[in-house]
Amino acid sequence: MTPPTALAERLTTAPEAWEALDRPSYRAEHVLGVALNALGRGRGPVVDALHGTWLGHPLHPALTDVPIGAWTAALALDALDAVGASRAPGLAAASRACTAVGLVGAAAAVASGLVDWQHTHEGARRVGVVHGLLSATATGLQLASWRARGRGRTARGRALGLAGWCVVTASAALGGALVHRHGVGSDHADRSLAPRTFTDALPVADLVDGRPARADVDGVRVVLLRQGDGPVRAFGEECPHLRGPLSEGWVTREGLVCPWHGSCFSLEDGAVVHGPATAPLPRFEARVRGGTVQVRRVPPVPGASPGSVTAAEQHREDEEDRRARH
Amino acid sequence: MRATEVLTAHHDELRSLLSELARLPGDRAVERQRVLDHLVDELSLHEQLEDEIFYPSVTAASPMVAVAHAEHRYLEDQVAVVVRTGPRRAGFDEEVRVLTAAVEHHAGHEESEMFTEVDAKLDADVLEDMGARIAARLEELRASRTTQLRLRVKREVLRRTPGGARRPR
Ligand code: FES
Ligand SMILES: [Fe+2]
Ligand SMILES: [Fe+2]
Repeated sequence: MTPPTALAERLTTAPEAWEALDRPSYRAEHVLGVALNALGRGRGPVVDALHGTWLGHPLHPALTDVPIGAWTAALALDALDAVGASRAPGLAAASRACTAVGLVGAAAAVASGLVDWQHTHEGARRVGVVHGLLSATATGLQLASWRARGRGRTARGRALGLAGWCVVTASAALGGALVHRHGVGSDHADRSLAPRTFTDALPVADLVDGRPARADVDGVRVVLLRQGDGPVRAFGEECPHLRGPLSEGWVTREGLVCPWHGSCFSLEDGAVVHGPATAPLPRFEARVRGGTVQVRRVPPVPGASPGSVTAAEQHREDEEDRRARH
Repeated sequence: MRATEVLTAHHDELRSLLSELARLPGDRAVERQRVLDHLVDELSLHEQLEDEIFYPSVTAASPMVAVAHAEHRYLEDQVAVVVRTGPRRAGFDEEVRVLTAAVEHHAGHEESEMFTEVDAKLDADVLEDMGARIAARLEELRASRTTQLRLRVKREVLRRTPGGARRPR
């Protein structure tokens, strides 16, 4: 017999290969794109809020806790009521209220899930389609349950609620696969500490005004940028969203734009200006010595580094540099 | 012509519309609007040809199709910004510049990577056949009343969204 873990894995990964979903999924995305663009200048703020750029990580997984939690609570209250284990009055009403709270949460979760899903690729995109369809089905069942409960058809309402709970659980399993297997919503940037000390990147003469350039520094890929006589800026080359190549992006008034899904990062500190990315771009310090741009990693947790190897090493390097220049 | 050649030729049409838009001075708003309308329509048609015919036929030959779809989406979003801004507003040139950079990145990537790969992997007669289909479909779409209406509605909707500019006359 197939061990249960392998079975679960087979079920959650099967949709990855369902290429027949691609056409309808791109169609659906076009419709979604038009609908979002119909918000005009409101599109950016709405979409960013739903991605969770303000939160530093995706909003969607946090929102899904609301329907799943509330519907689980409704299920528990139904069970108590059914077996008569509790004499507390109003269990049926409480259960219906939980169903309603779940519905409100589900609406928000669907909106945030759609905006995250639209920027996924291939296998993850297909799993995302199934995840979305299951979630929509579960929401429909819970809506029907809420209405049945309102009309006093308690048994029917409970049955629909149970069905909705089972479907949302299956959907959550796919959502888990999307995050843990496909890394949707997780930070894809290179967060190693290398290079800890200033390392040659490229000749400063290679930088074209306002054009991102790519350099390989000790196996770490870095994007370098200089505007006019301004300082040379250096960031991680790989977009935190899905590893789009930032050196192939472009600079707008707001920052550096990823060529794949348009995430925008501040040129000051790499902070997210617009999603879908929710994690900042890794930053590097850059200096020019003897016509060569050198870069070193800015430790990801400023202020927490005293005593760390990187901080000590960088401090020593700064001292040596100061002495050499006097 | 091979499909890749047909699409490259259409890229060049898009490029020349973009440079025409950049060349026209700001006080010739009516002409800028006309070129912009034309550009928005041709870009939509280009994406449609690739989405419907080219990309589905080359998914097996190139790993870049998913990224190409994503980039089309970015182009659509930036087109929406440009149309909404309108040729009389101060930010128009900047938004057109961003659109140009995005088109250049996407079309350039297709030509230098995806098309070369497809040319190397697919049979010449398959590519010729696909090229004929794409060219015929483009003519068909350009001539179709329904398509013209659809494109016009799309432009008008984008222009009338919150924050949208008046049409210069
Ligand atoms: S990879 Fe998606 S925005 Fe950069
Ligand atoms: Fe394309
Ligand atoms: Fe193209």
